[in-house]
Amino acid sequence: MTGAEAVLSALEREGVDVMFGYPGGAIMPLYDALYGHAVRHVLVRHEAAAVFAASGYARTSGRVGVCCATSGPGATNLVTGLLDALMDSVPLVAITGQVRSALMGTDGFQEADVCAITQTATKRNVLVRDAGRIGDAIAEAFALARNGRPGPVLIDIPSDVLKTLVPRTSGPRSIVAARSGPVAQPSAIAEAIALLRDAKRPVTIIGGGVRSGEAVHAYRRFAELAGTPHTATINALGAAQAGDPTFLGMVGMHGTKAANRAVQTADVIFALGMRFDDRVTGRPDRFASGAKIIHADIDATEFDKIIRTTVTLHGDLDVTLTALCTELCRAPVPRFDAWAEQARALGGPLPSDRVDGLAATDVLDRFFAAIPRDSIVMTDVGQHQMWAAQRARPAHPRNYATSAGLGAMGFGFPAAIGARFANPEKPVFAIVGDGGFQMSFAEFATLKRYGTDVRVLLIDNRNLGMVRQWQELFYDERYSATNLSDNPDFVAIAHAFGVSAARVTDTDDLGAAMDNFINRPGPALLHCACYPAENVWPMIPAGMTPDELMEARA
Amino acid sequence: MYEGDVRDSRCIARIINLAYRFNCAPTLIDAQAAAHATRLRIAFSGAPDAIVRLIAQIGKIVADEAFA
Repeated sequence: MTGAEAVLSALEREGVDVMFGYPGGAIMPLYDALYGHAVRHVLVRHEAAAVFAASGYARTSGRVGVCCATSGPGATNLVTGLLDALMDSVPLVAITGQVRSALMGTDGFQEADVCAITQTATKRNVLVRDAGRIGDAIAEAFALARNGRPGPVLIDIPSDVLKTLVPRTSGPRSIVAARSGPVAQPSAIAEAIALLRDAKRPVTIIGGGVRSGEAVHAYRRFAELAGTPHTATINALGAAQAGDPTFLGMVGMHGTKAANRAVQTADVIFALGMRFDDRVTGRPDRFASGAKIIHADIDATEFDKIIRTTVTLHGDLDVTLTALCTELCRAPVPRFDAWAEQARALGGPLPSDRVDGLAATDVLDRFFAAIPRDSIVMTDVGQHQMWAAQRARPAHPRNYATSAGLGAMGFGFPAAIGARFANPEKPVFAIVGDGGFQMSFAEFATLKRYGTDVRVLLIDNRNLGMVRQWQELFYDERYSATNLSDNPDFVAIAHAFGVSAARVTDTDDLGAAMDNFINRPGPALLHCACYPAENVWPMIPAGMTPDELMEARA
Repeated sequence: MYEGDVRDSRCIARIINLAYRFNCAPTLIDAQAAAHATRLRIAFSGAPDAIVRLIAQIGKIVADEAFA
């Protein structure tokens, strides 16, 4: 078989059912092998969409997402999505074609040193010069993508290597069995429980590790046994049991008042599978300054990176939480019901601006109240991302995703397409803003081609709204390059791609339009022409603390 | 000082780039290639806590690079 056929055999051995990609010269041998092959290829309309779709597939399924692209510009168009996956710990394997071996280093047509370019955007990348190594390289890539803290791996293969004949083998050499991860020391578990037992105002913050570590069940058990008020980063929305009265909502810059104030008031913090991102901590030297920090993570480099910890629990989060639960069952801690009640009282309803026209917050309130419980929602980046995160109550962290760490606009729509391929039985929605959507709406063609049932909720405020908000608040209302009042006719665009679409401009029409959008099957766009100057509240300005929290204007 | 074996010597470039992101700079780079690995010794100037974090990150890079 050829090297290209060896690639597909290796993907089949890994159980890959779909890959997202875009062809080109150097990767033509792989596309030739794909012709009529069992591994399904989904043609997107830009390589960036391929990697975001693979990411949406991985985030919502827990399986490794796969994408491919050709050399040079094809490969460089993957870079943002790879870094996004690295930041959010998403397991991906990207396969790129490279110019033929003899051309490498000659500035050949569509040549790029993609391994050098993606060195800091992947856990590892590898240039495969020997076709006999392809099976092993792909097996290693999948294992590494999943191992420990998940992330992306890139394999770059010159076109002549893809054409080289190699012996047909039954599989790679014996590598890459699943590794057992690190396990938190029993003494550290005991120390953490001792701190909790002595605490008066403990708070738990759950992060994306609960999703990548498949620790949701253990986390819900822990929340029940520990009884602390708890909060989540954006990557962990859905981790809390539905209706859990001790859950305070999202923490961070646009988190709830209750969550941020409780964290700031805490005397002990359980930080579980989270990395103290600056959008959570604001000003690290004043973040929860009265609290002892218990930090659990599978990645030891996260400890003491931003916040000094009292106890570190280095290990697989599911195992760590199970050990904590065992200890809590053996010797229960006092209930923190009074503190949980007090923490909840630190908050209040989400504040919102008074608007003249359709409010984005009303659109999203109605959307989240109406969607089925098992829906998957992917968001893009910007104001709508924060409004959505404040309101979303997903059934599970795998039912909700966004480009969190990198904040890559253009993510939401293609990621939702990938999510739908991974979850064909679930309703899948993309919430996008008018800025990010214009980076990705060519993927309507992908929806149309495959009949992919993704519904796109477009929050169009004719502005790059989050930047506009910062210009209003922190740059003396100097609105530089954020006005998008000349936006195209999005409904006409959808129709041009053969996708059904409707527009709503008035609050009175929102209910019927939303019902139709949610309940009528098939790909669709609901274009919501919203008031342009609505802001996201509450807000803790960058580098500040919850004491400096800003609320809606009167 | 970090001392260890790297399978793919390209990761030395990654380590040097990373050092600059931590506001550190290499003061010694010694790489001795052998059959299956390169023995690397690398030392840095910079704030002590930054060097601690840098060395931890290097450990992660080298572990991922050697994963097989």
